[in-house]
Amino acid sequence: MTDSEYNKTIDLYADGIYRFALKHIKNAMAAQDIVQETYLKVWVKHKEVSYAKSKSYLFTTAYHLIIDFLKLESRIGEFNEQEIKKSVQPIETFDLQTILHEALDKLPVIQKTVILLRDYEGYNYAEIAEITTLNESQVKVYIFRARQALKAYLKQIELLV
Amino acid sequence: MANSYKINRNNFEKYYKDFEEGRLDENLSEELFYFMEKNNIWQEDDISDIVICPSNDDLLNVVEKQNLLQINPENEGITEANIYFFLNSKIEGLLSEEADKKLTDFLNEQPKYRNELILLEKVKMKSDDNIYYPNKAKLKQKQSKLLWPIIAAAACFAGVLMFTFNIDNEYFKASALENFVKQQNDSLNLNQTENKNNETAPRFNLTQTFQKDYIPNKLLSRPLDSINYTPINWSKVDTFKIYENEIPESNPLIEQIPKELFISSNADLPDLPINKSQQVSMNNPIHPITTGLSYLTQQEIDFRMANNTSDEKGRFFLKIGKLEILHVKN
Repeated sequence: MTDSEYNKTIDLYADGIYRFALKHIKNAMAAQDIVQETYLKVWVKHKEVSYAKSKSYLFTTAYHLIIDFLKLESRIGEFNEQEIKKSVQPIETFDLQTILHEALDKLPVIQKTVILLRDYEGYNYAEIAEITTLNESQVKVYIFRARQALKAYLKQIELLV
Repeated sequence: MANSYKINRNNFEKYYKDFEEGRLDENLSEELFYFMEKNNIWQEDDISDIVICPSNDDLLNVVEKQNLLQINPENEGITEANIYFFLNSKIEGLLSEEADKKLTDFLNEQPKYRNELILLEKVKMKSDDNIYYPNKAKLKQKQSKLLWPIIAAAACFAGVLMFTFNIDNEYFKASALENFVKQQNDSLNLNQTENKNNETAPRFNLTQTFQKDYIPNKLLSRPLDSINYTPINWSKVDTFKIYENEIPESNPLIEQIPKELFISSNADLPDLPINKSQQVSMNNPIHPITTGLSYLTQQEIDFRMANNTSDEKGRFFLKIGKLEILHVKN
């Protein structure tokens, strides 16, 4: 893609990548770093990447950076501590999106990723498979399992409320 | 799924470890994941690690088989065991018309699953458009501007001209000329000191020297393509003389001005007779550009050139305001 097309991808996809990163790592500064690093990596290879494939390439790069970040966080224990803190927070309001995001945070990373790519970005199974280096059947099953889990969580909350 | 389950809360971890080590058969693997799903084991802190950790491929092989088997309504009708796959497929928009009809019929028969469908519809996430990346401008890279190609083209053009006309560096030896003027003036000062009668001896000055018009001012009003001009040959500049306010014709020293050099300076010089043999027809190939530039800069800008002919050498003339360059190809 050209320099101009590269800049266009920033207007088109930076918000989506930021949301994608933020939903995974729950830290605005770190999510911004992920976006910056993603675009830096893509800039280095932008001449080799076609514009048509740029969105997929950007999200793939971001996804790998997020996984690296989560592994690092997991090693230093911050991620788990955050998870524990969140899990003991009382539910004060029954806002569906808030509850869904809480449930989303409790999903395994891969399920969270496929759900975000599917629902937030509207990717089809083949595209998600390409980004996450899974096959389409795996993506389908992970989405199924994630939805079942979210549904179960929602049902549980509805019973509590 | 069989009615008698072997896996329960007390032993599922053992089964899970067996699964991880590849010792669990297919039926028990299915039962294990069915149990974990049913009991929301993944939500519990103590088990979250092992749910995240297993090899994705191992985890999926079992579920995938189950999924693929159950998703085809042609092979198997909708039952309570596979209803969630149909519900999920409906949410994902994967159901065929026929399967959708079967699902509707099933939901009419089993209304409790309608709530499940509603719940699944609710868990479809919506993109949060209020979240946006704040520093997009910083991410953007500077685009290569068209300026560089223009500069490169101009440089190429200048290069071609330089090579074509083999410009003599002597043209630009202003310092040499400056030294020459200084030497001449020093010499005159010396003469003045020795001879008091020579007080009115002319002085060279640099400004005057640089105001040289080797195309006489009076001729400039005439079309350039018929101008008779004589190029300066800087190698003979040491014979250069200027006598201000004196008509060269009346000055006996006029003979000292070499034929190759004609200086009008500020002196009121008469028209030189035009030697027809020196006339060269010069064209301006970039007339619209020079006209435009003249208009924009409010300066007289002109460019003329003539190619080599059998009679005349190729040459070009460039005029930008008071700066004029004329060169004849050797």
